[in-house]
Amino acid sequence: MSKYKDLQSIFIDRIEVSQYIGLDTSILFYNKLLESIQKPLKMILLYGKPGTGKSVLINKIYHDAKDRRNVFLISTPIQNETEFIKKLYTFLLPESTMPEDLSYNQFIDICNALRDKKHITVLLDEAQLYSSSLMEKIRLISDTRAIKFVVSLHKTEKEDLIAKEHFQSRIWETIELKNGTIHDTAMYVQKKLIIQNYFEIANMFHKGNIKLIHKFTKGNYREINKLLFTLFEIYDYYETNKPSKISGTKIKNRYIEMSALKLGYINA
Amino acid sequence: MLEIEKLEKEWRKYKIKQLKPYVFISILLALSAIFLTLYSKDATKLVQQIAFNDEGAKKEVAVDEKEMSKESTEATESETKSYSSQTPSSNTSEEKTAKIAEDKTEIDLDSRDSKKEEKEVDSLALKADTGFLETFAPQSTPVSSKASNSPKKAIQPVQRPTTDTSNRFAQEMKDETKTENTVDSERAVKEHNSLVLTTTKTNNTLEYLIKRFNEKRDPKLASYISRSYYKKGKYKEALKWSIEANSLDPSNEESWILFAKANVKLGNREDAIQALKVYLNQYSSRNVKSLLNSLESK
Repeated sequence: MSKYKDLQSIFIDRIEVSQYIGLDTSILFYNKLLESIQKPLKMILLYGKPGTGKSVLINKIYHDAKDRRNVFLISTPIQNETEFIKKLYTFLLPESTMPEDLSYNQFIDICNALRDKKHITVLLDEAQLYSSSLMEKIRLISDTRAIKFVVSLHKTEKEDLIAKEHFQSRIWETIELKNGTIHDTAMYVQKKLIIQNYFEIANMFHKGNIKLIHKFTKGNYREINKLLFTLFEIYDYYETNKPSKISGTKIKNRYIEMSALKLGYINA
Repeated sequence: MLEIEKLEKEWRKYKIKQLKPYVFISILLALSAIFLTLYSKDATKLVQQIAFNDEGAKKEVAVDEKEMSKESTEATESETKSYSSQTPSSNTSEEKTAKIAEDKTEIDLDSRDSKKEEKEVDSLALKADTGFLETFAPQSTPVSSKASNSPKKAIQPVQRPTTDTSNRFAQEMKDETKTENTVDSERAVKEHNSLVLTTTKTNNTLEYLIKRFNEKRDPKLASYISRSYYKKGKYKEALKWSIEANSLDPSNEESWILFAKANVKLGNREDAIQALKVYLNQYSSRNVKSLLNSLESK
């Protein structure tokens, strides 16, 4: 596997704990969320635009806290209400004790019975995909205080409104994730490469490159991944076909612009 | 699979598009810079030309001064001779001085004509000339009195006729006969000196003004031409042009005054008085009244 192909794989967008980059802002959010989880809150709302790192953060929290606390993650929304209830039951009690026809009301009763005995935290990723009725039920479950929910939502005007309507009275903590600054972009690119021991490639990115990357991606981590993936795809092509074109110790802005053209950030 | 060639083409297009505004701005800047440099060159050329004109004028003045100083000494000699002898020959000297006076009026008129022409042709050049003349103005009066005594200081009177033209014009307008008959001999000498300075531009001035009048049909220009002819003593022409001015603008008092004056000169005093009265019936004018009074009193 060529060097540039390997580099492409670093920037494939995937939600893995290993992909978590400890940027200044993300560390701040991480600590804030961890702190909130420790508090006796009913619900925590985590929202932000797609690609701002909500899923990675939730995964990181789940990875770090699952051993110490009763923290569980539902990364893919379960649309079926019964399935969802059953899943929650497994978080609270052993699966063997679960009644065969567990209804929502039964589950609420169980939660109320466990109120002072057990507390768990359930992380709900992509919560905007849950139906309104299910969200309403989640809200009522949180009232039992047996389960604390961390709801991760995409922030759109409509979804923001839904979030407010459903959780306004119950949400004690709101964390909004935003696109990174130019400094975050630089740190993100550098750290991603350094973690994979690509020090010489990390050094090839100069200030101008980062400015350009930030300009095209607006500091959105998913877009940064996409852009750098395409960039290294282009580098891979030149390495195979025209190696003289990529000689040098710096990343050429020309290839970043070509990547942006390919991804449609800019038009010719 | 990447289509690198297509991407490269697109990138080139993108770069051109990106550079367009900068190229446009730089071209604009370059053009403005070129324009500014050219303009400033023109300006400097103009300034140089003006300076050159000034120098030329100064040289001319210097040459005139020499001639004038010679002439002034000659004139003073003849003057003293004529006064000291007081013989019948004094009549001839009087005739001479009268002639000189006539010359003077002509010179004044000419210098004024030339001024006007310059103003109309090129205002910048005119400004420079006037400036030059003004710088000499304050020195002219005290030195002119000593003109007959020392040839060196006699340089100054040359400028006086040109600077004093307007005043003298006004004087002459007020009292026409006086300026023609009673001429101070010393002053006549000075005016005679100014001849050298101004005669160069006089020939075509009236022709030019008439040409301009034919183009513009300006009543003020017509009365100016009339006045010029009047000053030259061409009263018939003056009468003709006063009528021309009057036909274009009957309310223009100067055309009436010139008509009257020219008629007086041509011996038609009654016509002049009649015209002034007609004018006063319709308009009120202090100048016309005073002229009418002076004509009626004689």
